Amino acid sequence: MDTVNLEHLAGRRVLSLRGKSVGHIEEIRAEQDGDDMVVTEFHVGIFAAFERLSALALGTAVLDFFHLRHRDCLYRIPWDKIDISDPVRPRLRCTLEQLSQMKGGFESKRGAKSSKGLGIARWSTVLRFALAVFLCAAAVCAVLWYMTAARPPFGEQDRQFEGPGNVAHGKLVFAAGDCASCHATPGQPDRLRLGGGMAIASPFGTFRPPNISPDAVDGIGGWTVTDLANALIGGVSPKRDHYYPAFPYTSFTSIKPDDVKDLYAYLKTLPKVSGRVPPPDPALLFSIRRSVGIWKLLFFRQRSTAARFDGDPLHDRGAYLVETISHCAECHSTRNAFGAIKPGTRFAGGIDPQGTGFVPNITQDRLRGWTENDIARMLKTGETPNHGRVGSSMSDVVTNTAMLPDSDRQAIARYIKGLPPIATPRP
Amino acid sequence: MDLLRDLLDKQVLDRKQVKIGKVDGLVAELRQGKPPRVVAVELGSITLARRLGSRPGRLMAWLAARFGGERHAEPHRIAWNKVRNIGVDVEVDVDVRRTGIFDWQDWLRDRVIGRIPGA
Ligand code: HEC
Ligand code: HEC
Repeated sequence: MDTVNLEHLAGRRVLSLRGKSVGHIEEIRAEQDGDDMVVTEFHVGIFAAFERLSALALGTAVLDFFHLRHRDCLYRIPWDKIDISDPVRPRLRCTLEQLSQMKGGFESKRGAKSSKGLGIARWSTVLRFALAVFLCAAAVCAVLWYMTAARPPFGEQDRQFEGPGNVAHGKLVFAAGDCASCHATPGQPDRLRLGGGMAIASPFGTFRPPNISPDAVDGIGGWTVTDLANALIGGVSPKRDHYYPAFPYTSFTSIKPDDVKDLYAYLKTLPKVSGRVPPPDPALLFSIRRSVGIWKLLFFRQRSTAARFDGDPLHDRGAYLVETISHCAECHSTRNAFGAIKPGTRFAGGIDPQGTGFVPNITQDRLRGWTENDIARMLKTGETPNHGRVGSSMSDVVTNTAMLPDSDRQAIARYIKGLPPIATPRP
Repeated sequence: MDLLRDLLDKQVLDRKQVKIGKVDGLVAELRQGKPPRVVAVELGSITLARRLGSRPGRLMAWLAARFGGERHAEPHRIAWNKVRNIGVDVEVDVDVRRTGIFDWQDWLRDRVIGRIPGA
């Protein structure tokens, strides 16, 4: 079936056999013919004075807007006298003499106003289109704004954090979480003075772990346990800002509520340190904390974990420690251009978060020669099976893992030993 | 009837009086020796974009196909014999849920709005 879209005819110039403009289509008249609706004639208006300017659709629209056009006459042209097979270029099929007999006179005042001929139809289309585009853009912005808002996962009334925490167990969570390595005040030996301030340089700017001592003014002494839970699990501050993922909540997010409670109780027992940390100096892209909301949409799944469990209690305890609390993958993986861990490189090593050195692969691709006991011993003493010692940031990790019970180190070792081999990605 | 004045750009209502869009286009069949016959009305962004020119039309069709699948690469058409009543609005005898017209709204609801926690 040979079809055309009639709406394209609205406002089009009709060309004569010789290629001269005879006017613009203002209306398409149709009539019922049995069950069919058929086109019977076209109304073509002539606007002598401004014909040249109106060659531009925009010019026509402007003229119409200011009511500057006066139609000189209207032709009523039967359907078979205009070739509309190309509706963008309608052509007259008769001579101009024949055309002059088709004048519709000036009764067309009403027609001129109500018809959508000429530029008006196209102009209103442009407007409608622009409006639609604008509304879509506005809707996308609104949705994005809404989706990037920092929403704390827990309300103050949350029952699961009720009751006193276990300080002794909280101390172990603190050690396993390596919190002191980032939050202890640099330049002094006491790892329990959590004044913060160490500079973490990264390709995304310089971040500073804040003061998390129980000082009510400069630290988190005024925090509730749900505030701490929202920070660790949601990466959201009490002021409802996003935290930068330099704070490894991407791993902590699957922490058990009881562990948060115990950690909270333990943090309360530590010495108060006064003094605030200078604000972070993130790269331009992340200078507005809201933008971390977009990052989170892409790379952060609250309360999810990469851990694989197999039912063996020791292995599964190891899974929880390695993937959640001790966040080993945060260092031992390769990151993408946005600083998120590339899924296929988890534990396979990569450039360290500071972008200065290489953190080794700890999957069975490289640790095949290590036994479970070798790994557990390294986590206690720092000694590697080939009579070396781990250095750099891993020695801080070991300071903490050394405080864990043997069973936890064994658990970590079992899970690490069970990591399938992945080739080290090329830096 | 004046097609441009009485039909084009009018609101379309389905069988259940649900507003499903506007008459963005009118399709006519060209017949040898007989006047062109109106066979369908068209709705949707592709038709609307085509009115601005072939390039915007192609761009919109590509976008629609890209995001909606091949099913959405063509404008939505409603056959002329389904058009019931042409007044202030144009009533058609179809059920919008059986067309693809609201697909993108459903998509938006399922994929975006539905995923917003609390929405
Ligand atoms: C790799 C370094 C690192 C480790 C390990 C780390 N943090 Fe942090 N932490 C940060 C950084 C950086 C920030 C600040 C993020 C920001 O400014 O958006 C932060 C922020 C915080 C805050 C928010 C403080 C505030 O004033 O808003 C709390 C609470 C916190 N960390 C607790 C902990 C606990 C508890 C642990 C151990 C389980 C821990 N952190 C482990 C780097 C670390
Ligand atoms: C703060 C970053 C960081 C974290 C967190 C971290 N590591 Fe490491 N790890 C390192 C670095 C850096 C080295 C290389 C040390 C060296 O150069 O001697 C290393 C070395 C190792 C090695 C020795 C590999 C070898 O071939 O010599 C093992 C095993 C290891 N880490 C296991 C772990 C486990 C298990 C965890 C979690 C409990 C963990 N790491 C958490 C940074 C980290």
